[in-house]
Amino acid sequence: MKELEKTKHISISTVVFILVILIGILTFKKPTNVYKKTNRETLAMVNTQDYLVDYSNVDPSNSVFIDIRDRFEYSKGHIDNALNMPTADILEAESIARFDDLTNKGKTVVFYGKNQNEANSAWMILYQLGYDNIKILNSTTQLVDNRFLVTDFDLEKPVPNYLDIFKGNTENSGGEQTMAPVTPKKVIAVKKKKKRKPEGGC
Amino acid sequence: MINRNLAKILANRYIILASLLLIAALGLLLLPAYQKNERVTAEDLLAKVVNPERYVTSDDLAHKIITKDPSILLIDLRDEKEYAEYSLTGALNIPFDAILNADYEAYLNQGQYDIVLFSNDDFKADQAWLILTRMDYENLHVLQGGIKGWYNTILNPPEPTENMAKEAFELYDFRKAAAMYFGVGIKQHNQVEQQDMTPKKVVIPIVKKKKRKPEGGC
Amino acid sequence: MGPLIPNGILTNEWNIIIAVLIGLAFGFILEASGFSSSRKLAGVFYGYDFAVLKVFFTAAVVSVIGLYYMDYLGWVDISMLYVHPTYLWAAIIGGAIMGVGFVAGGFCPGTSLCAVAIGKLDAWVYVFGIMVGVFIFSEAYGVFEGLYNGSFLGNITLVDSFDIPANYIIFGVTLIALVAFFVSDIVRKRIKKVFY
Repeated sequence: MKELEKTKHISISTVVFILVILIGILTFKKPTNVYKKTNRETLAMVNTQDYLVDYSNVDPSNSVFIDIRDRFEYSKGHIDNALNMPTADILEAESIARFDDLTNKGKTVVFYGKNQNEANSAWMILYQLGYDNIKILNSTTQLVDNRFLVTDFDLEKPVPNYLDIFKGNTENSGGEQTMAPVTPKKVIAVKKKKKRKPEGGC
Repeated sequence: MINRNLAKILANRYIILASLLLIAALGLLLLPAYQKNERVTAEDLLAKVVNPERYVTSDDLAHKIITKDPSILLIDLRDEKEYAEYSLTGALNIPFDAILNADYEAYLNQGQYDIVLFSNDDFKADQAWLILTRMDYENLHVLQGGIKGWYNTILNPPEPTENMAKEAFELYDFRKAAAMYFGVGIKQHNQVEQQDMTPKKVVIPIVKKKKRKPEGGC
Repeated sequence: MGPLIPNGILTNEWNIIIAVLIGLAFGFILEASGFSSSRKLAGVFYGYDFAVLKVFFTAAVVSVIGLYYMDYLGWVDISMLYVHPTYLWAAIIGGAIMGVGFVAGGFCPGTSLCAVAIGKLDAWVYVFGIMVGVFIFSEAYGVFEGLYNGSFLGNITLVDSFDIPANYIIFGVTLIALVAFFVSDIVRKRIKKVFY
């Protein structure tokens, strides 16, 4: 019987171990909304500009406009036939079901907001979740005189000749070609991670 | 009676325990595979996206640069040519394509500085912000409007009209003064002074959080 | 959720507290299993007592199974756990030297400290020997440096080197463990009983 006493601890811990695993498995829920694209794939996609679509190029028979601004902005004016889905709601089960449905039908979804940037976050999140058929409308939109205007807008273009503003510097300096004040470049020393030597062992 | 039965079962206790272990290992084999979520789930990312706190206005940033706030780290996401032409004071150039390069990880993934990302617009900067936030990097901010917004507000601010509030004029004065600081419209005799203004090269070592590796051994 | 400290659920300062607690528990288990007796430890090599083999093999198998279940359930992220780097030849030669010390001295470094705690004289000698060894190694580090840092394979595991999914390896290791227990039991019955 003394031997049995010894194994009592083992039995108890075994039962606890198995119970914990069982409870874990019974209460386990599969994660929803898993990323299908890696960071690098996303970066590559973002660089292509393929996801931007001009208003004139949108095929109305095969596309659905989605207005990602909030409900109030949407109620004031929107593109005809556009659905409203604020950015904050894009991951709700209802919205995901709608995206799945549109994807299955082979439709193109076009996001738009006040400008491209507003629609960008919603697009990027959904793109990373694997929805390839979503595009961003390459325009800004605004309400002018109760008409909803869609204007083409070029992204990431610097203001033309913006460096001219610094020309005041060089007026009297004998035609020197210093355009902008030299910005000091910050130098930051980065320490390499130190590898700790292996230790220990029994 | 019960005791005897129990004793009979317990006589095989090692066999029972061994088979339980085998079943547990087999269970691992049979569990259906599924794809795991990353640390920053899409829901987390969305919650951060909806929060506008990531945006820094150009006025705030100008104030911080002028007061030489040591806690900010400016990251210029435009390409090298544009960076060479003009950039914000003390900005570091990490072209947008290269944000995932391992060389730059130490700059982007740290908890010491408030990083301000900017590009010509805030579009690219926002995309970079999203990609980096998904990787759970901390303290990332986006300059609202990017360089374009910087030009339109700080370097070349619109003059307030007569009927605007007093604040608008104060803001305009601040922006004008800031523009001066950043080298707009400085007359020749100020040239020397301007050179004094340029901060010296700052060498700020980034001390990474020391992560002690746990070590085993009995 | 886990691991707790890298994920920032506990601060770094907890590291040392948890280490002390686990160390206490570990020492207690070693002593409770009778591992502070050098005869018991040497028994593995002479074939009259396989407690050491059973305890350590069971511990390894149970923890690997438990960890992978927890990984599956999303409680611990296996990829974030620390994997000890492999220096192949250093490990082989060091292991051989330690094995010889194990048989000759009847302790492993952990159990020798346990035995010191319960006041065994031979354990004191053993620990002193460890210190001498450490001293010699440090002084002659230049000689050993090539071996010490050479044949570095990175932080690899069996999964990386065999390219088989972890589940299969775990199942295989469990089978090996059970077979080892079974065989060791047969061997123990054949060998003349030693009382100690």
